[in-house]
Amino acid sequence: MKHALNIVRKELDKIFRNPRLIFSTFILPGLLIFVIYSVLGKTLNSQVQKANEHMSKIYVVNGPDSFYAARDLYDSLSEADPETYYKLNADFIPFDPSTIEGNLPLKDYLTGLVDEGQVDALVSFEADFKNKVEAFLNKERDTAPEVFIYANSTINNSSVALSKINTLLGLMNSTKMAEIGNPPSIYTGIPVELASEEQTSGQMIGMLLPMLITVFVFAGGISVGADAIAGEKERGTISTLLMAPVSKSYIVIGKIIATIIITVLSSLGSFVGVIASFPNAKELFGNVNMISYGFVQYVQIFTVIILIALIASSFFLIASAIAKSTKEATMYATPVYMIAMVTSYFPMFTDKLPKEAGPYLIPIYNLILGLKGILLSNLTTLNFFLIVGSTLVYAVLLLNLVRVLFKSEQLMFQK
Amino acid sequence: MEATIVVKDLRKTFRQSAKQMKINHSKEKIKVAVDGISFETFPGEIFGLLGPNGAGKTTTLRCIATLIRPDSGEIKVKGIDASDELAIKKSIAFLTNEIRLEDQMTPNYAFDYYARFHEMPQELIHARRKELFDYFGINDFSEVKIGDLSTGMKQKVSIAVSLAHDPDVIIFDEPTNGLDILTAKSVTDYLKELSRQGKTVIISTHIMGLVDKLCDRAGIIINGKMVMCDTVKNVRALSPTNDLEDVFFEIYQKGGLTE
Repeated sequence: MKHALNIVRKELDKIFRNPRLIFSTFILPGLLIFVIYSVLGKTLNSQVQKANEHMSKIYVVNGPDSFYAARDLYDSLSEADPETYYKLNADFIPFDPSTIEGNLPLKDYLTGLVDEGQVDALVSFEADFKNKVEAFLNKERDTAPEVFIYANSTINNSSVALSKINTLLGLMNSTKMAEIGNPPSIYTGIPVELASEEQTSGQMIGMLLPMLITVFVFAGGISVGADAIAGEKERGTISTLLMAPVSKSYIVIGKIIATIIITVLSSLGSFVGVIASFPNAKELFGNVNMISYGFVQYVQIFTVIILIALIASSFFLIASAIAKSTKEATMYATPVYMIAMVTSYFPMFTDKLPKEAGPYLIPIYNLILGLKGILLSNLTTLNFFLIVGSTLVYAVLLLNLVRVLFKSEQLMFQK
Repeated sequence: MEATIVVKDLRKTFRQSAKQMKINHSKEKIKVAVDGISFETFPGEIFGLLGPNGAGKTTTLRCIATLIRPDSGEIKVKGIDASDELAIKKSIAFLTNEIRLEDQMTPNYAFDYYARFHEMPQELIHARRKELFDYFGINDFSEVKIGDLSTGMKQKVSIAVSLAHDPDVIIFDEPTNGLDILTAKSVTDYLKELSRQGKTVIISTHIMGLVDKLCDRAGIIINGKMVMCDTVKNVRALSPTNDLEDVFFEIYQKGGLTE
């Protein structure tokens, strides 16, 4: 084991004795992420502030009197208690869709106007809304008349306008409740998204943390892992190492430990960068409060990060053992990196964690599921240990493969 | 006297890739690199393996150093069978131009790093480092990164590092390749010094003059076969001109091997 530690020390010294490498490996990634997300966050925050102060221009189709009454009620409430009821800042303009030129569908017509900022949103009540509400309340019809809200959730002014409309609809409900007592929810706006898929995807970043961590670990480890063996071949130092009277298993153990340490430190730098950017990037990540996580969750997160580093390093060492040069090893390792990236996207789109054991045994995917579960505080202890156990088994198998590759004359002495 | 290295009927083949077959103008998937070589070396002697490029010299030395495994045959170093890789590695130094040190290491760091694998106590590491660095004149460069050293100085550091554990057997593949005259001289002088200390030195080379000046005995390898093995004096005597080079070319031609 002391031989393995000897290798660990040398591998670490290679990095820690080079100020440029220390900077580029540990400080730069975190710094870059902090700067990028902070700038992005600050920009978004100022945009939201501007949007709140902006006078919203909202088209109203078939607006019932009760809607305008709700607006007036809100205005008076706002005057009386501006701390609780922020100024509405909205112009409600009656609009008739039949006036749209060229028979353009309402949605298409609005998309352009909202994109250009000429209008911020549109609320459309069914024709003869008041009578239909009465008919619904008298059980003369099965469904409440519909209210559609056309808005673009990726445009701040538009999404703020949408929330203003929802505020008034809520007030309409409260008023009705005061009139007749506990009515079914009638005034519920059905959102019609004017944003394109590309626009909405930008908003998904709030769910990206597990994916980001995976990216950081794989990105942090790829260069170190690729260099670990292939770099020695490329520089001609592999024969010197192989001439040392030390078992190849210890060489592999030394290499993997050093790779994991550097990978984890590098990815922690990035992780710290993300956490540090949270206060500046509320609009990007949502209102994330990392302090709300307990000690156990932090231990679990750190354990999973180490496990991702272990799996990533094992794959990278295989690539490194096969390749003749670091460049080649990076090329071999890139597909694994890509697979990890793609895999890391899957759990993003599910709200609930799977209940069965199977998914917690799938390499890489199980680690991302685990991270998501820890961050959502709903990962069971059993599933956590399934993830840890299965990952350790995979790592042992992969590292055994590295040891076998290390013994191959053809791979070690190929030119 | 008991032999320090015993090589018996050594055979080693390599599988050739399509690319290698094309380069070697060969249709054989298997290339015989060493074909039944046998020889012995003794304490205090410098033994030379002489042959053209691709004759099988380096492969033979790599087999002895346990870097690669022979297909068949027997190798013993100081009575230790080659299957005991770690024990063999502890008792030999293997040097080649391919054996390099990491550029970002300093000579001091590299020496200590590799010496620790031999489980040497720190005081002994320091003592050996001082002795070898003094001899090769490395002291002034001991804290300079190896990548910044001249080729000759790099080679001297490599030699010093590989001799850290003071082995009884020194195997040196092409010892003067790529070296300037002065460095080459200091290397050959040191090999002579090692043999005077009773150590076994085995070198491979295609340079006749080196064998002539340095070696006590020589084995001539052509196409993986040992075609002659005797004292340099006896080999030289086979030619009327008493010239090793003439003997070599005569053997080469007799084998119908000239191109």
